[in-house]
Amino acid sequence: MKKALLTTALGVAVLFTTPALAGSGGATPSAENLNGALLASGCVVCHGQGGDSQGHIPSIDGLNKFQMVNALMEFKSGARKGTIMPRIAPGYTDAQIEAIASEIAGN
Amino acid sequence: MSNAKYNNTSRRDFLKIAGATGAAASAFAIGGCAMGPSGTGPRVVVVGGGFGGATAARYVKKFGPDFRVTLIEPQTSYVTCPFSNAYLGGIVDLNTITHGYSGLSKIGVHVVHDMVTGLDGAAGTVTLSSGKVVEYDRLIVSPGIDFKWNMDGYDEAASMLVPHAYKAGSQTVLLKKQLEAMDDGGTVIIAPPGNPFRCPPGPYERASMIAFYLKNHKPRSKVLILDRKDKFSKQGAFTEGWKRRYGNMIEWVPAKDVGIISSVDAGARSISTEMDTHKADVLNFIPNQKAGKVAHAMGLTGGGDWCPVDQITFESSVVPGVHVIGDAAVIKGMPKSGNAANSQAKVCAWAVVQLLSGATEVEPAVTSNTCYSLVSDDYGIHVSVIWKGTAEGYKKTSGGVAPANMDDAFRKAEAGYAHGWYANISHDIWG
Repeated sequence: MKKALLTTALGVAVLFTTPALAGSGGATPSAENLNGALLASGCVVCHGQGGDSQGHIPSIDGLNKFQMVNALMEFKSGARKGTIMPRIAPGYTDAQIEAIASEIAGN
Repeated sequence: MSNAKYNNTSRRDFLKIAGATGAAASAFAIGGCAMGPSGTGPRVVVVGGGFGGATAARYVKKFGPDFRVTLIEPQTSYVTCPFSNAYLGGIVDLNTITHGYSGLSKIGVHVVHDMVTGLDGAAGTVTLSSGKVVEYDRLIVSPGIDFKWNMDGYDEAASMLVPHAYKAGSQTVLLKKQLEAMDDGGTVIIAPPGNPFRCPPGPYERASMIAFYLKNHKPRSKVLILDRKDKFSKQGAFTEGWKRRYGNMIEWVPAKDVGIISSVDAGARSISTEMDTHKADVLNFIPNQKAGKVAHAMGLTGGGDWCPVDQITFESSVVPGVHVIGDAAVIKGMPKSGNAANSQAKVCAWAVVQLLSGATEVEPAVTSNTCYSLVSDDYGIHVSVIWKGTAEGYKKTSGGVAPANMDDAFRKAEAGYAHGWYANISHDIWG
């Protein structure tokens, strides 16, 4: 029964490719995960949906990709001061920072 | 990697929970729920509407817009543990920390307010207390915690006199009422649980928020923490903050000096150890913990206290096709926290969408946890970690606790950010 259900599910799955999946680069494991949608999903818990923050934490939806990459790279290097971002930014590779900025700011 | 077990025809995992009979259940129609989930894609059923479950439902829909997502949660509203301490401190009201499910319904998630009573992993179905049987292609379970009742003489009846307040809601309200009824000069005793437990900084933020309330209303009172551990989360940052805002009002006693707690007398509001008996005016006893009841009923703990899972997809090591996230799951390297559950839900949603779209392997995720604690209304402290997923668990790539000896402006900014975090993560989860 399970097998039949899953065959149906997979059959349906072939019919649609979600935009999010289209950018995932398939499911081949690589050294670093560059999935922008998944990486950026961690940002919204503080900075709000699409970077539109409710409350005290700065919104980041007004930044373009260049500004966002720049800010994150500065937090990562220590050139830019902050409360928590200097702790967070070094956890991401340069390529992941690029993927996050693309996701939130667009290309 | 232990995912994509589509060809597993073994019946070893066939589970029938007492009380849920398939024959009787199939006779029931979908009572009162004419509308199903939106979409025509694979069916993902999520059990539990807290930080993990509600996030998973939202993000499966986000990553797979045509997926049919059903969320099963007994309660029609959810009171969060995060910021329930701020409620005790008088900083936020109950309404602020209570969330409904209409935001999830709006994006096409079918929300069913019912209780899961059984799981049939081989058939791919869950049975609800109404008798309804719900089919899934993948199941995500986020059961939260349950308490190890009856250790130390503390049971559910005792919690009506001595609240644990570690599942937010009526218990939190009870504790607040007791604080309000206490005379100035009283002693509040908090007994934090032993490891592992939900929200490692939680009991210490609670001590802070109770002290904040007492400082404003009953300044001769005292908070005594009788711990079952010799160290605790954000210890340096809390200790500094307590000194700066409350002087000697909060006293923390490590397990080695408390001794083993032998009994809790709920009527007398006292705790006895092998060495001493401590009498409180308000007693907050937080029992040791295990995975939520439904995880045990569904057979997902494999006989242990918690649910073992694959570290990449969070698929159960016990029942294939079922994923477990949040406090109940054993996810190595991560704390049991609301933000961690939210992060795990996103990783899991991504994995489930990929697996049901034909992928056979899922890439390990980079994910994070940010946790703010309020020491006072103008004093916040963070801990934040970024992790890289591996088959063995989550390896920290950066992070840390708020630095020591920062000025008041820094602490005040972080108190504001704590409120901002709450507003944005709540919005991310419940809409």
